[in-house]
Amino acid sequence: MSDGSMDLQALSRQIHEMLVLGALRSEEKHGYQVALDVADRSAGMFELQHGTLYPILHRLEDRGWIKGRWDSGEGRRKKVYRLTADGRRHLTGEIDRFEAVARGLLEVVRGRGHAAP
Amino acid sequence: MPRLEEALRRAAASLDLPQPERTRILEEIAADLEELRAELVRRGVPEAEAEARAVELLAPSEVAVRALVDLHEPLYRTLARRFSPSLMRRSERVGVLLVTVGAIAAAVLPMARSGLPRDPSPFIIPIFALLAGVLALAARKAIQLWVVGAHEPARLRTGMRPLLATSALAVVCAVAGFVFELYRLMLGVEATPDRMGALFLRWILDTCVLVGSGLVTALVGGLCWFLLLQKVEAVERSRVHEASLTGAVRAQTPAFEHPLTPKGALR
Repeated sequence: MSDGSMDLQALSRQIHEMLVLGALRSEEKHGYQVALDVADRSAGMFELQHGTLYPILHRLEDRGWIKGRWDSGEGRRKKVYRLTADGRRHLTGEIDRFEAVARGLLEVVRGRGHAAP
Repeated sequence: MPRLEEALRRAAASLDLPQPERTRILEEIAADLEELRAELVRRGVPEAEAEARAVELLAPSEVAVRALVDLHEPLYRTLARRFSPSLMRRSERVGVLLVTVGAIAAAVLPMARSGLPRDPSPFIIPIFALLAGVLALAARKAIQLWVVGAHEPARLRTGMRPLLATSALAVVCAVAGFVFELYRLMLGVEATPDRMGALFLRWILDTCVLVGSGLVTALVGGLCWFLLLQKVEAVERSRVHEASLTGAVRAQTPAFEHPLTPKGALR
């Protein structure tokens, strides 16, 4: 039971990390833009609520997958994040892994040979 | 924007991290909250609703704050949670002792190897004691500021004046030693005027070591004081900045239970 919940926690964390990395794929963004982007692009299916975004951003920054810098262009200082080359590689790998997992899951659920192409 | 400030104050209350990391995190969240509110208003969301939505999305919950603390917690605090306070206290003292003994050895060994001073002044001992004091005070304060992250306002400047006073005392000792050695030289010259040249030369060498040691002690103390002051002032600036972000009169840093603090001292 506890093992199962730990796996779910890890999965949830990985999904959140992928969402954040995906939001930063095209250009650098402020934290609030990442949160909005995730909510907008998933049409509300995924939302990084209650500030859960910040531990994810800081963890990814710690691992070197994203890089933050302070932007003080217009008055107040704001932090901007961009995806690093390492982060891009990691994201590509994670996408492939998730696709394989999803394909495998659908094959099991629908029955072999019926998975969506 | 009282709701945004309130949300920040709530986050700040449980964000138990040393400065300036703590203020950097709050600054990031404050800027994002404000920008998101403005962005939602631009999209046609009513002001009050935009503020509530911004808080809902970005204001960190207790769980998120805990995760941030876990990520940014200094190593010392992580260890302090795992090991007993007495062990942490002992290791901190060992750290101070090692720094002090190491620095003293680095100063004394080359001097001993060069054979100076030939006829050491009695004032050299208090000067080396003061050097040890300066190093111990500076090392202890540096450990508190950088390693422990003990930034409570009441203790932030503790130990700074004694450091400066000890450094000044080393100069006083050096000057007193110089006068004393000059007096001894005069007595020597008076007793054996034919050895004046040799006595004078030895006096110069030994006094150089004495005065040099005093000045180096004062210089080391002053330099340490200056470096520590930069950190103290940076912490104070962060605290003021944090207060401006949260709208608080005085930023309320959760007091970290330092093992060397007597129970209830900060309350």
